[in-house]
Amino acid sequence: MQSEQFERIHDFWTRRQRLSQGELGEFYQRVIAALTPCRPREAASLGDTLADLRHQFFIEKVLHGDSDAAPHHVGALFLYFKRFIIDQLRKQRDDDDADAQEGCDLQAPDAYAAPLRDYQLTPQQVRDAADVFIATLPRDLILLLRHCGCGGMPVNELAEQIASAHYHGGKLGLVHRQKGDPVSAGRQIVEPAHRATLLGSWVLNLLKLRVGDALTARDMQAAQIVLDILCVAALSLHMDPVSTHPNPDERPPA
Amino acid sequence: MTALTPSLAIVAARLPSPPSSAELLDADAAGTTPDWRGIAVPDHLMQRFARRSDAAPLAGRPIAGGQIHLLARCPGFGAVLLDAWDSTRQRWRGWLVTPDAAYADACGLVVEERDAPADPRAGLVLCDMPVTVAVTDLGACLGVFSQERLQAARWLETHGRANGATAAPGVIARVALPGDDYALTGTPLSSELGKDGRVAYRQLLRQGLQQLQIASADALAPISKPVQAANANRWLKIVTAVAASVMVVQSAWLFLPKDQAVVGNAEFRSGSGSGVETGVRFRVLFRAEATEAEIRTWLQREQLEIVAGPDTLGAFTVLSRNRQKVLPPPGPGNPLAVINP
Repeated sequence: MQSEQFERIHDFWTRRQRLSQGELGEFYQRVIAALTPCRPREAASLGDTLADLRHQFFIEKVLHGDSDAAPHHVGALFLYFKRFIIDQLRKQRDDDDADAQEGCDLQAPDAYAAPLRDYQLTPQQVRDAADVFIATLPRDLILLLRHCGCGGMPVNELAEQIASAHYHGGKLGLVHRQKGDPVSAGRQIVEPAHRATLLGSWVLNLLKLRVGDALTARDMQAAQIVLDILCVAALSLHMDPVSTHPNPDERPPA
Repeated sequence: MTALTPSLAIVAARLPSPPSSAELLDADAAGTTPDWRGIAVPDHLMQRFARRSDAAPLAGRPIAGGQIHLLARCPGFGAVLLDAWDSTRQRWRGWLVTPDAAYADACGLVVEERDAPADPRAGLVLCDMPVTVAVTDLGACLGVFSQERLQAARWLETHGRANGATAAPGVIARVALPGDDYALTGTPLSSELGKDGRVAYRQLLRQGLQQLQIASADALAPISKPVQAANANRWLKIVTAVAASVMVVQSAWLFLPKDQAVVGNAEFRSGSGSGVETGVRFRVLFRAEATEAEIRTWLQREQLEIVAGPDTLGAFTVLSRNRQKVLPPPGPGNPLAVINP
């Protein structure tokens, strides 16, 4: 890398607390590009792709790092990156967090028909409405719905996008499914605290209930069925992870 | 695989440690540098940059309750949401804050869009990890919570763990709070979650707090009296001193025309109901290091009276009889830290 090209990185680094959004984007691009030839062999022990490691390095050490010492040449930047990897190796913990995650305990579709009949709905109509509703949601909220609301199994590549989507999650209206209470989500989504959310208002609207109505156990059961069908619709969507790098499968040297 | 990000190894690497020795080998560098313009910037990262830029003006805010401040000695490790000033210990009580929203559990409060502007380093308030910090422990301000959100954090500290829901690490959901408010939290830990990454996450954070010598509020002896507002003791003298003048002013108001009074954008009546105050009230926080003499001189110069306070945030209400009065912005020449905290 030409030294004059690296001067731009040095300048951004020095001013990184005061950069505009556009400058931060260019800073990211330049740092990631500059680091691309750097392939420390220690990275192979971490299990992440080099692309992921470069991305995390930028977030943790460049953007949020404690040190004010900006590298003066690309070799110093490589060394920072290598130290970032070695630090992780030194402190590597067992982060095997693959718990048995409980998914939706869905009832057989036949069981849906009778409770929905009182609301002049069929399971297919609810499914169609769910597909339309999902189509109105931005991508980050669909991610939350699939992976947080419906018991989906988030894949590693989506993890950061999902965590980022949490910031906007309040308006969606995901609620906890209470242990041992199969209609708990339906009961909660129509509580006053959640009725005005995207999910709450969609469920109430579909069941032709109004925000101020006093709801019965029958209404809450119907709300749960609507949510369950929505989960099936959300989980049937195919979503590609947004790559942080043109080659997300890039592996470090073994 | 669940949505816990960043990895625990990265979290662990944030902890203070001696620098690792590393040499760059020829084998570490191979290939050519691509054109930087071809590198994609993910949308979620651009959003993060936007949040950071939006919150940048907060960085220099003087310390006050409800604010999130980086830990000065190790800003990469975390921050603290300040709740209340403990005048007995001369320390702030608050909760640890990290960027890692994915690690929310039943006592974790996810920072949301409604808290904007908030730097992305403030992503999760760990309400089960109360800490006490000295003013010197605190660095740049990352965000400011409303009273309602502070109340939500307090509620989660006390009641969050009792929220029994199906366990699913990395998953967030809304929980109803008293008064039809809500908080975004993660699903709670439970006995069958022996391998939940969030358990190890909290262990790492505790380890980091120990290394930084940040005391857990749990570990301290019970507070002998309720946590008081910032500088409350010091302010008792001032409040007492100004009380007499306030009484004089209030007496004078009895004879003033009963035209409309203004409080910020609202009207107010005096507590006695015997008359109508005319003027503008401002709620202010003074700088922690401002001296009593400095504040008194400034109050006189600006023709202001302290009429209430300190409240739980350490804020005072000052009154100007000039309804057009505009307070000068906090800065050199005045003891103000924050106006309308």
